[in-house]
Amino acid sequence: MTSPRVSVRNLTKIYKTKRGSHVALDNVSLDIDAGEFVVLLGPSGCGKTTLLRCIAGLEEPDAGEIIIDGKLVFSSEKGVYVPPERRDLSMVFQSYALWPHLSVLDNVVYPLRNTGKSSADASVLAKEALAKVGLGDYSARFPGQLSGGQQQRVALARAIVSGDGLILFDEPLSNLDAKVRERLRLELLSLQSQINFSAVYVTHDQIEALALADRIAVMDVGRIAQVGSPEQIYDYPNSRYVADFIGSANEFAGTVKSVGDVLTVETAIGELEVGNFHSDLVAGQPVWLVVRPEHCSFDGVGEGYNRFSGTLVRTLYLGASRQHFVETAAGELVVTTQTPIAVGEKEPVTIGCAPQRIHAFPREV
Amino acid sequence: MSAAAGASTANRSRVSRLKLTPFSTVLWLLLLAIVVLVVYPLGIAIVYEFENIVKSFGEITNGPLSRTVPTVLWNTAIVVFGATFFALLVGSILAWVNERSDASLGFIGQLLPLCALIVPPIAGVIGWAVLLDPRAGLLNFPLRQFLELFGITSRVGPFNIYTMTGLVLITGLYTVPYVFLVVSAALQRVDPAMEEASRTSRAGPLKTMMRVTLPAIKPAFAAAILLGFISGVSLFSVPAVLGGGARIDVISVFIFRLLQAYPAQTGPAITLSIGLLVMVQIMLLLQNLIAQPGRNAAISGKGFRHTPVRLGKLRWLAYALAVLYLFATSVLPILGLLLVSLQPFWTPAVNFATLTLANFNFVLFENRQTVSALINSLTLGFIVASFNMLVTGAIALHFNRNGVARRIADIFTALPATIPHTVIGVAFILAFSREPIRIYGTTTILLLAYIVMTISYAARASASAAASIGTELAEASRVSKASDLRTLWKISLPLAMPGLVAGWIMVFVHTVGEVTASAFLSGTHNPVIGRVLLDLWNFGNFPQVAALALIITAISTTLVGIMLFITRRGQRTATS
Repeated sequence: MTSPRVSVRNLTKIYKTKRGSHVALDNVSLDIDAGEFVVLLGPSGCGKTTLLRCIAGLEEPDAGEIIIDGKLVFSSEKGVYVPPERRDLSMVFQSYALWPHLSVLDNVVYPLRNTGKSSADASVLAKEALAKVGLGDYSARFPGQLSGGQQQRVALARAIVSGDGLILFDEPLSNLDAKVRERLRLELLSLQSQINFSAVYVTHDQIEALALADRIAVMDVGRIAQVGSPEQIYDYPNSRYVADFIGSANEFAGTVKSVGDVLTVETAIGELEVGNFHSDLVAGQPVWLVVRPEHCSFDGVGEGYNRFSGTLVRTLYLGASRQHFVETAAGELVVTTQTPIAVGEKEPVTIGCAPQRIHAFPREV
Repeated sequence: MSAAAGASTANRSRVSRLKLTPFSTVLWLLLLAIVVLVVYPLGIAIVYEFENIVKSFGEITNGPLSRTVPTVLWNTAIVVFGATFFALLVGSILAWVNERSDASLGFIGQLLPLCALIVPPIAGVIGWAVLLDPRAGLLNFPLRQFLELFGITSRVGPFNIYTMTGLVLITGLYTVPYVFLVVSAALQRVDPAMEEASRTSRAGPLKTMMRVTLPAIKPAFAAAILLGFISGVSLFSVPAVLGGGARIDVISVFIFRLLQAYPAQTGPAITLSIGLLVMVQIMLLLQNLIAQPGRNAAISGKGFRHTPVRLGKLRWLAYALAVLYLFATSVLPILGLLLVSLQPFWTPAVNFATLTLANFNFVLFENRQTVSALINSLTLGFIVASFNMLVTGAIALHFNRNGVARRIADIFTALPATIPHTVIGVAFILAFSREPIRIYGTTTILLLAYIVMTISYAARASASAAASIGTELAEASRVSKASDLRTLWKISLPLAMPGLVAGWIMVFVHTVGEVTASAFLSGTHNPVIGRVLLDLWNFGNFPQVAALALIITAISTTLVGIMLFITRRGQRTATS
């Protein structure tokens, strides 16, 4: 059995402000395996950056344990706190954080010199790392002379050069244009398959998370709401919060009528059959039903599909797809299609969706 | 159980860096020493002089001082109010022109707030005195000759600098930079969308300024007024040079004369000092209330780009005002000083054949008093600037910006700025001219006073130098396996260097041109430039005064030039 590279156990971090205390991390546990790309995803203020900085040693948690490569680097109980420079990891920052007074080469050489490598060895390794990120010819330049994308590549070279195999990313692509961002995303993945580092990657961009991650940890104010592969998170969210945060979702309120192979739920648009639900739901329980716009359709209504009617209010053309807003008895609903539909605005439509595409989550009343 | 709790608190402090390392212990001890230097002299002076203080209440209310003190207070009020009003008018017009109009002042706009550094106020006021002395004024003389063409003859005037008006205007000149800086900063932070919304709502530029811009920066005006009051109340050099001839005493000079009298009237001196201190503290309190962040919600982030208001022909008027101000603070007084310093003796009818460099030669090499004053002032400036920048630089770079340690250190280093120099002078004299610490008349007492008086400038310069780096660069170094101290040495220090050097120069220039504490604490055994300038002025050695004032002006101007060069280059690397 291989042990995880990073093991976070029951981590709690509380910020004390003038207005009282704010729980940034609430008993969070997470393992990151060797070579694994884990994305921490969540809205701002959910604690994802705090968790990353705690792993880096830039913040000190209030309780819990962090183990990196089998070495205890933080434990509130044992009174252990290993400062960042003695943890075997590197980090890439949103602002690139290149040192403007050092040349590109010196920026990359710096971590090696700090671990006692000779100047000649360090220089060779740094040049190799720069070549890997496609900046072999830029070593004599200064950070101020590079574009944002190039600067972040230098930061990446600085992160891989020490060969620790654990890199922390703090929203590294947020400051870049869409095009550069997409290209760097690809380069990051090919770099990872080349040198097989473990990554903990913080972002609030769900597309980025889905594209990069082996596993996504969706965070909600200080706790991890769900951990799983991108497919699991997208297709089988375990809570209304996760369903809502990843992708877009239609929601309507209902009440469970009966529980069987499928759930039958009474709603304002009639009885719906629901395929995704937790087994502890009981008849009579209020629930939220969640279904994604692209899982609803107007024409492809198959055997056993739920059907309900509404009025088309408006269609937005988005290039690759079309977004249709439909007024129903349960409120406004969004349906996404790849192809145009034959229905005009203000005309009645019938919507269909498969039971296994609908999720039910308990609703508090 | 309690052991675990103890361990966890010890850990937390390691990150917030309250835990004492040898390095931070030294910093805390130095900070403590500075606080002691502020609190001890004042406290001990009050203890020593307690009886005299009590007695002086009687003297001031219905004793021998009951007639002079109200006049002094009244004079001070006129000077401070007048100067502040003048500065507010000129300073905010210049700030608005520079920030909002198409008559952007460019390089002059950068120089404006530095005027009081480029030409030390003591040199500036002496310069104006030689220009507008009623009899021998270098400007008055040609004016009289011009008026004679129209049959108007007079042996004095037409202008007399030794009047309340002179005092107010010259004090005002040196208050303008404060207003300019505060108002400029506020204007930079007003979201231009607010003004653009007003323009698209059919208000013209003037109406927009009156109804939107000015109300938005109201708190800045209040802050500028209070800053003007505080600096006016404590200003010493202007009334010390002009007040004598005008027979107008203001509080700072009056306190000085109480101590110079024989026997020294220590009781009233310290009582009035405490009064001055209390007044300044009240004003600072008011300023803090006004400047509370929640109160000016209209002002948001900074670094907006404004569409300039087109001034048309008025642009030339705006340029003229700016150039006039530069002339008034720098060019004219320097020319006046130059003419007097080159003459064998001060006469308004300049005979170019007799001009000589003898005064410079005398001041620089022959006169033992001026030579040792120069050596002392420059040495003290060097030590004070280096010490203060080292301490405050280390604090700013080492202590985490939002940490508790940094906040405590900030309070300590900001404390001395709230104490008028006159009060520091009085407290140091009374505390350090007797056992157990008898250092009055030594250069040590000046060194300590200068350190206290300039530590706040140094701290501010260090803080902004450190803030310009940003925390992520240091954090990137930590995760790149550099220790705390290595990060400080390899990353933070080199990056903060331009800002620290600029701060060093500022402290040096302030120290060399300092007059207030120098007047109180320096004498024949420990002469410094500020004191010697006043003495030479009072003894009537005008050409030597002018030469000495020019020499320190030259030093200041050169250093400020270097400072501008460094900070501009720093900006270039930061923005690229």
